[in-house]
Amino acid sequence: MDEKVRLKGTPIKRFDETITVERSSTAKYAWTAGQAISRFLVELKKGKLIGRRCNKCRRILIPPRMYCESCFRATDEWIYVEPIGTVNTAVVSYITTTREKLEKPLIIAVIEIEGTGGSGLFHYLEGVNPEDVINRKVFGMRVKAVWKPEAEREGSINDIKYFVPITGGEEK
Amino acid sequence: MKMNINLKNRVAIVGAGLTLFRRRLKETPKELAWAAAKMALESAGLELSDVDAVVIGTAPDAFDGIHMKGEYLADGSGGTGKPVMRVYVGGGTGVFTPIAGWWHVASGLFDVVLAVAEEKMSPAMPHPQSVFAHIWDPIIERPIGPNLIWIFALEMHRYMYKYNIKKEDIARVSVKNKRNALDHPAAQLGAKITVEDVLNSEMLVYPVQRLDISPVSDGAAAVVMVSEHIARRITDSPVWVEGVGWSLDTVHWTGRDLAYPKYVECAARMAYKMAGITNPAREIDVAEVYDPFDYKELHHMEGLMLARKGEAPILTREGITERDGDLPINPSGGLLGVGNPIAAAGMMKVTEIYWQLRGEAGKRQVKKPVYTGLAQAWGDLMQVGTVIVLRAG
Amino acid sequence: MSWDKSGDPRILRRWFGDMEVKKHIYTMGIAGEIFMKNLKDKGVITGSRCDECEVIFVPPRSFCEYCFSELTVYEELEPKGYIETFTIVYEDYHGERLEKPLIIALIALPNAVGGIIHYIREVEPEDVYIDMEVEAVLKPRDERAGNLSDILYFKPT
Ligand SMILES: [Zn+2]
Ligand SMILES: [Zn+2]
Repeated sequence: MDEKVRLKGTPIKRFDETITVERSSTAKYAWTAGQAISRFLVELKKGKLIGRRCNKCRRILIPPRMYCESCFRATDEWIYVEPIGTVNTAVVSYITTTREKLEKPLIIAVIEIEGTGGSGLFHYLEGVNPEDVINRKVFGMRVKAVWKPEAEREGSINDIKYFVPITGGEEK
Repeated sequence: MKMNINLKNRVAIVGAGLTLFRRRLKETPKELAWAAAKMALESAGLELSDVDAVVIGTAPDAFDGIHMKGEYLADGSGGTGKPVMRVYVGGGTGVFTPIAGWWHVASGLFDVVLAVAEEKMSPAMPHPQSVFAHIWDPIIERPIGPNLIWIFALEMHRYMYKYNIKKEDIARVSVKNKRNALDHPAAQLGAKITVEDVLNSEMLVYPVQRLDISPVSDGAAAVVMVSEHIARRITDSPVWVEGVGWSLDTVHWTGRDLAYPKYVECAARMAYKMAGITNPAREIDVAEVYDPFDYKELHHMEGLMLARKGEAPILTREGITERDGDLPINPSGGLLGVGNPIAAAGMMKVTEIYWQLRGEAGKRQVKKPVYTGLAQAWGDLMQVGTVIVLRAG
Repeated sequence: MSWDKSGDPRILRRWFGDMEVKKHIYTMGIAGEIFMKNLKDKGVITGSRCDECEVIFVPPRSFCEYCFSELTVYEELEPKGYIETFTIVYEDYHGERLEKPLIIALIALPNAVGGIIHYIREVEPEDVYIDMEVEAVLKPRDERAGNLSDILYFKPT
């Protein structure tokens, strides 16, 4: 098919150029969190990060699952981990979920939780400038979770407000 | 993984069809499917009554707003009263559809299979973006409010960091593909742009800018796949399916190596083994590599082992991936230039390799003689790779 | 399994959410647009003809699913037909008893493939029968919008 072939298709700029019908979808869902994520949420509410350990590959799975997808066996035990990790990757979002312009850019990161053998959390990063992301200073940075006040926690991933850099000398 | 490569039937592609790719098309999804399927059949010199079975590929039902999308599309895809199946592996669907068509024929079950891919993204309001919100874990990830661009930006930035890649070397992909698309009759976004245009385009989610991304589109594509004895009868230039491969990585993407698409490598190894390819960078003459974002073309070239890790940007900078280069990549213009009606976009890549291997791509025809080509797609939560290797007959 | 399942409702959680797509806008397509335009402007039902297969599709289609030909011949038909099959609905969406039962029918047109699903009114449920001849009652022309609601219902001829 060379460049001169005329293909079918009738482009329209706007929907009012043709006859349309509209329908709204009102599907609402209640997702069961299951055994592993339920416990994870309950612990988040307490200000704790918990994972499941697989004794075969020795990973700690976060978010936890009752099975290890690599070894294909049931995981062995619950284990608390410090909400501390290193930045695996980070970006600066100038847009919202629905693509509207953000007034203050948002930094989003994948944080590899320490001591888990590679489990990452997808969360917000505060206390760093967009420049730190752009000049790649943020990669490998040690960060810790900042929790919402206990009264505001509801058993959600958002009970962690965001992660912030651990400044020099600070100990966990 | 063990795999039987001694399959019953050799399979050829003998016809291909496309519709225009546009932001909004008036046709219904099934009218689009019909237009592509009809063109594919006519180009093969076959009629609907010659078709034994139909494979349909289409991505989430929520774009078109029609559940049972495969069933809905069946009459427009030539499936009435025939064995029909729909396949769906997210963005990987467009290449997975002819893979499914291939096993229908290779197994010896059917002689003539029509493989049709369609996507109409424009119905979803206010923006198809809201449909993408449903690919994440609803409990752990969606409450963070992710935009689809976020996760690709995260992956892109990790890739840039690991191999110390400059943004301008990624932007070259967008420049090349949009320019190539100027010669593609289906193209939505063919354009002459510069690296500076990309770098100056609206910053969405650093490092992703507006001109790094393929558009939202409506469109359809189709190919006709037949067994060897039919191919020998109806054409002098069949395009043989020499290898197919597909692979899925874990959905827990935050624990993955984001700088390297291992799942693409797994899919490619499967296809290469079947095709008897041991040195892909030397043996593949032309490739259509999945490019919904410009960095993805580079990422995938490396996963396909067409470039060493971190070196695809160098090949691009040196012009090797241009149409007149040693390893032309996306001579069609890719998703960045032709458009991205998801399943149809992946299938468009297969049609391009088909036309390239037959020497029928007109102004898009790559300069060097080509015998072996590859099309690849990718999708789901950045976790699926689908690869097809084609060879001129 | 090496773990005990919890059945404790204080531990087991649910998470609520929705599908954020506000709405879908569907185009009628090539054949659908002609059908709706003709219904709106002329008060007729349109079909498309496949000469190859000697059939008329109602509503019309732009291609024939039997022989894959493109269909370009449209025929305007009187909005009349007969009941191919029907059902009587006694409850609403929420399971509440309807004051008056609703008759829903597939109305076929002579010699056409397909038909139109619509309400049957101006007849009691016990008097409806398969093959009953019916005709469309349309909205006044200036109230018609180019969708299936331009037909209010069908009634016995
Ligand atoms: Zn394990
Ligand atoms: Zn026909």
